[in-house]
Amino acid sequence: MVDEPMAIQLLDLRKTYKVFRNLREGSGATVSFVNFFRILFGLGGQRTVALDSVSFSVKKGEVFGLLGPNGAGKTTMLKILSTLVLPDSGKAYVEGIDVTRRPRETVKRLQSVFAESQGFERRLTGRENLEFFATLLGLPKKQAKARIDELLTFTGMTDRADVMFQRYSTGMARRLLVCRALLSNASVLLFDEPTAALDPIAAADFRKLIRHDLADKEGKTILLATHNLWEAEQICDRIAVVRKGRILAVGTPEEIKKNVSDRVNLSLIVLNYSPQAAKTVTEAILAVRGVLGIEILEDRDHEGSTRLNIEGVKGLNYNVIFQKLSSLNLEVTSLESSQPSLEDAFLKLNLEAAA
Amino acid sequence: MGKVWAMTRRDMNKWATYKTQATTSILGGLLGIVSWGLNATFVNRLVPDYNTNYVSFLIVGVLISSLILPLSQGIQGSVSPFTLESILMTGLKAPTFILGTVLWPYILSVVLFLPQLVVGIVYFHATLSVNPVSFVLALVISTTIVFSIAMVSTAFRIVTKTSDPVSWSLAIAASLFSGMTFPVSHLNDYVPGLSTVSWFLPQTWVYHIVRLSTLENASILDANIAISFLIAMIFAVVLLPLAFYVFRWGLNRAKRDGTLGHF
Repeated sequence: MVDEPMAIQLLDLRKTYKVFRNLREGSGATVSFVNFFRILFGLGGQRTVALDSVSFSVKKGEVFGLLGPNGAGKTTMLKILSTLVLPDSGKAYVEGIDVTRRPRETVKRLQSVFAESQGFERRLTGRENLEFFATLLGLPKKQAKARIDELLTFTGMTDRADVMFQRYSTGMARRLLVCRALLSNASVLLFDEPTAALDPIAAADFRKLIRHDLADKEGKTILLATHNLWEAEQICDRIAVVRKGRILAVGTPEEIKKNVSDRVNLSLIVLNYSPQAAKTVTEAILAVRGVLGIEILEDRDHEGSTRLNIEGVKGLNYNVIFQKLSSLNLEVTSLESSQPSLEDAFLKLNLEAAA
Repeated sequence: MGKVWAMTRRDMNKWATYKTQATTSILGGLLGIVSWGLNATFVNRLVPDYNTNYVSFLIVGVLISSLILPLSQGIQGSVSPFTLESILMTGLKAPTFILGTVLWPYILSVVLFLPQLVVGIVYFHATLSVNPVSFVLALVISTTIVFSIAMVSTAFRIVTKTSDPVSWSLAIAASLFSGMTFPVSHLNDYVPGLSTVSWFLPQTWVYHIVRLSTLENASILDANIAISFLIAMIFAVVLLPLAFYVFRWGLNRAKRDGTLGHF
C-alpha cells in the first residue's frame, strides 16, 4: 500500500509564549525594580500555552479548516507553517519539508494570506507592489509581468491594478494579498480569517474564490483558520476543532456533527407567553425526560408570539412537551424539528473540553 | 542584485510621492552644510592631525556622517509592522534585505553629498587633497563597517521594536568620541589619555581613514597610513561576520517570541 502524500503535517507541536507583564506586577501599586529588570532582559515570568501537542495532516488538494474561538492557537499554527514563528517542540512539514530547518524551501511551496499582515507599500499601486514581490520571489521580469496580469484577471482586480494601494477597500486589499500569495504558484495556501472584516458580498465572492477557483480549479491545498462555523461548513472538506491550543476533533463537517448525533433540536412558536412565566416554563420543560436545555426568544416574525428552542436527546417524547405547554396555557402554533448543526457540535466539544 | 534594486526602486518611488518631504530634505542638506560652514569659519584654526584647517576638517566630517547616518536610518522604515513578515515570506536572504533596505537612503545621501561638497569648497573654501586609491579603499572599508553596524542595529530593532540600545550607545559614543567635529586628540586636553577610548570605536576609524584620504593625499604605500587602514580593515573583517551572527540571533529570537510582526 502506498501512503497518500500529505501537503501539511503537524506532529506533536507545542508552543508557549511569555505572558506580557507590567511593572507593577506582584508589587501592588508600586513599581518593582526587580520586575523592571526582568522585563528589560526577558527573564523568568509565566508562559501561556498556545499549542499543546497539536498533530494533524492535510491531504494534497484538500480544503482544511481550523475552527476555533479567538485565542485558540489557530494563527500560531499558520505562522509556524509560514516560518514566521518557531515552535518550542514538535515538527511541522510542508510537502515533506521541515519548516523550521528549511524555511526558504518551505516558502517556495507555501504562501500565506494574513489579513493584518499586508506589507504592501501604500504609496505604490497594486501592480507596482506585485512587481516588487515578484522580483523578491525571483521571477524573471517577463514571466512576472505575465503572471501578474493573469492573477489580476483571476481575482478581478485588473481595473484597479494601477490605483495606489492606499485607495483600496478591505476586499480589494484582500484580493491583492491573494495575488501576492499566488505569484510564486505555491501549491499550499494558508488563510487566516479570510472573510473577517469583509462585507457580505465581498465575503461570498472570497469564499467562492477559495473553494471554486483556488481549490477546485487550481488544485491548491488550502488551510484556513476561521471562527465562522457556517463558512467552515460551506468550503472545507475537513475541519479541526481547536480550543486553547488543543485539537478537540478532526473530520468532515458531517463526521464532526456525529459528535452530537444523539441530540435533537425542537423549535416551537407559542402564543400567550408572558415574560413573568419564564421560570415556570423553563422548569416545566426541563422536567420532561430527555430535555437537555431550553432557550426562550421573542419571535420577531410573528407579533405576540414567542419562540422556544428546546434541545433534547434522540427519541424525545414531543407529546409530553405539548401537554406541559398546554397545562401552562401556551398554544403551540408551529413546530420545527432539526438535526444538530455544526454549531451544536462545536459548542458540545468546547463544553466537554471546558469540563 | 535585482532584488536589491527592486527594494531600492520601491523606496525611491515612495520617496518621490512625498514631494514636500523630498524638497525639504534637499534644502535641509544644503542649509545644514551652510550652518556647519559658518560655525567652522567662526572658530577657524589649524588641525595639525590632518595638516588642514578646521573648515576643511569639519566639512569632511559632516559629509562623512551624512553618508553614514542614512544607512542605519534606512533600516528603521523597513522594520515596520508586518513588512518584515511579508518580506521573509519571499525567502529573501538577510544581506539582500539589509542592502536593499539601506541602498536608497545611501544613494540619496550621495546625491545630496555632491551639492554640499560644492557649497563647502566654493563658499567656505574647504581645501581637499584627495588620494583616489586611498579614498576608494576608505569608502569600501567604511561602508563595510557601517553596513555591519546597520545589521546589528536591525537585529536589535527586530527584538526591541521601537529603538535599539546598541545603535543608541554607538551613536552617543560616536558623537562624544569619534571625532566628527573635532580631532580626537582634543579629548586629551581635558582628560589625559581619553582619546584612547575613541580608537576602540569603529566609527572613529571611518572618520580617520576618510579624512586621511581626502585631506592629506595620504597614500596607503606609506607605512603609517597603511597601519591605519589595516586596523580599520580588521574592524570591518571582524564586524561583518559578527553582524550576520547577531542578525540571525535577532530574527530567531523574534520568531521564538512570536513578535516578528509586532511593533
